[in-house]
Amino acid sequence: MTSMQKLTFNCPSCGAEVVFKSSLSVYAVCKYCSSMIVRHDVDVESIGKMATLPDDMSPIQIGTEGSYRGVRFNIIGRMKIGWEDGSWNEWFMVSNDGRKGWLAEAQGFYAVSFEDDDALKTIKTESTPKLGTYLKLSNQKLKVVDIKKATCIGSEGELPFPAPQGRKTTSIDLLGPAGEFASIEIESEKWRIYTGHYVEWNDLRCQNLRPLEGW
Amino acid sequence: MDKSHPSSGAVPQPPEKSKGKPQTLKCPACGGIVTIKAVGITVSAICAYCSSFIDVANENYQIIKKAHEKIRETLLELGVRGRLFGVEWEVIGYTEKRDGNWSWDEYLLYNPYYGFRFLVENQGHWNFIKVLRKDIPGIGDANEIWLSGKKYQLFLKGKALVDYVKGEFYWRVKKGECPRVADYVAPPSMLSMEENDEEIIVSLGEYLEPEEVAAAFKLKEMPRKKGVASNQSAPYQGAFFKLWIIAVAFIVLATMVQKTASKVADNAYVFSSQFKIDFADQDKTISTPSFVIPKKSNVLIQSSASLDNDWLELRLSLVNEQTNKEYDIVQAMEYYHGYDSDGAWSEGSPYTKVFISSVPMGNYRALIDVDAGAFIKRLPANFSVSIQRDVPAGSNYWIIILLILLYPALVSVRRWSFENQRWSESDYAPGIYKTGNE
Repeated sequence: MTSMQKLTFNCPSCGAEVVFKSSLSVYAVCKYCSSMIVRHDVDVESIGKMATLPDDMSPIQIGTEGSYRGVRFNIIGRMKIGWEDGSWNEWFMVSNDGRKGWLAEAQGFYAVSFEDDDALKTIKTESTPKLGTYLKLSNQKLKVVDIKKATCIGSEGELPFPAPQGRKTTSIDLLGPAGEFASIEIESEKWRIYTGHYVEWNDLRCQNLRPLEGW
Repeated sequence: MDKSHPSSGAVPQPPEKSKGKPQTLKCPACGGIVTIKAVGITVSAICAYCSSFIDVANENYQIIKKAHEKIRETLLELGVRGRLFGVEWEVIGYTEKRDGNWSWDEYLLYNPYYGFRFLVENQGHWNFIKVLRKDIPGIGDANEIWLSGKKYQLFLKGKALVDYVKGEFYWRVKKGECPRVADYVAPPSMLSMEENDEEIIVSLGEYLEPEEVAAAFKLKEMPRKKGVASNQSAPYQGAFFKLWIIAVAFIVLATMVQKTASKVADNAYVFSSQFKIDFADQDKTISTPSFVIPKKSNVLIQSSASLDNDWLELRLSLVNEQTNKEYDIVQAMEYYHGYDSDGAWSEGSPYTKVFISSVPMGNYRALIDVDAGAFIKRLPANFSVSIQRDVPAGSNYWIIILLILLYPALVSVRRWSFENQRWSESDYAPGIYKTGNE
């Protein structure tokens, strides 16, 4: 897969090897010195240091593999997002069919979604949707169930965009009658839409999980 | 030179990946150690020492509400684990909720892989509840909701006032918070909605027998079940229609057997005659001509007499001419009628019949002795006797039908009374269960 072509650089800060496992990634956190590294065409640049991520009980870690609708995926990065009433994890995954997706992990629920540019073309991006209203995203009628002001608490591994601490977005969750899931992320004026489904833990068939004390 | 690390100094090592483990913090109010199990998800924790509400949504732990209450004991204590539906769950939170005088207990269950469930105890009845991430249009307003091919009927609308909490929660807990709730039932499942100003939470519950909860959490004594729960399965839930289908199948079978038996049966008269009795004949025994019963079969003997406020008794012996074996029967008839202040009345019947169930083949004759009331004086008296063999026994058929129907009928009555009891607690009872519910 072209998306899983490895690119190797040296950390501008500590010189250690920084591997971009996916060509879809443009940002990585050096696992040796926590430098945030942005990848340009031929070189890399450090944009500062990432503070330690607050701990949690997530069973997922970078390197975890799973399945979504029969396609295996690899977790290669994470953003931890905070909002007024707590936090959640956005695990960046690259699936074996070359798509970039996210495994959202919030309040014990899991949702897999992929960036959906076709859905983005079907909606107006002038004003934010209202809570409780329905949006039509590529023939799916989904309800706006949650609108949050989100802040990136930290990131690790590699990601498709820079996610430094304090990165602010508006995060809108949408829900369908059969567990269809969509998320709209607005960063300044830039809209991204992700569409997918809520998934059951057993259906994810995860491997290489993080050890959890007592479980 | 190795390019992968700097030329100066030793090879750098990435920090060890940390194991996920519970987190401890100091209660900002009393300094007691508070342990958080669902690290990263828990937002509110209640100090086990002073009952203060601590906000753990971020790392500056704040007291939401100071308290100096004693922690209440609960049937399931925080930290206990039990296996339900194949997954091990740990009790991490407890909420007592109330609507008017009606209160119930909600335990928050946690597993780091499977997330959260609720175990709810209400009047000794238990439910295992999972929050649904599905948009269910109409919930809270509609009288029925269809979900996964099942119809859920509205059972109650009410409030759920939070009376008491302990443990940790993935939402901001406020004592005195009072969301609107609605329950829809399709026993043993229940679809619930909880709505506050910010969000609607929909969940799906499954009725659990107290024994299942006791076994999972190794509890000895369980609160006794009171009444019928809103989503408790009625007797023969699921098997009920099967039961009736089986009954109908048996009726069809019995009818077919009966029809075939009727066709096969000879149903032949071997003797039929009218008799006139004179005073002189009254002590004589009447003998019928000899007749043949060609195979072992039943025999039906029918008698009738012209009676008018009188009685007649026939003592009849069916005698096998080869073996002299006798079958003795008595055919008593009486018929009275008249007028009184209520009008015309009558009593008894001038007709009677007797079955002899199994008579061997052979030559037979019947010997008849007559005993009579006053009519013998109003001579001559008339009566008739007929003897049939191999008669299809209709009465057996009806007894069988009755026996087939008995069990499903009893079950139906029990179910109806169960459903009646269930819906007596609801303001939204379907029409047939509304009796005495006003």
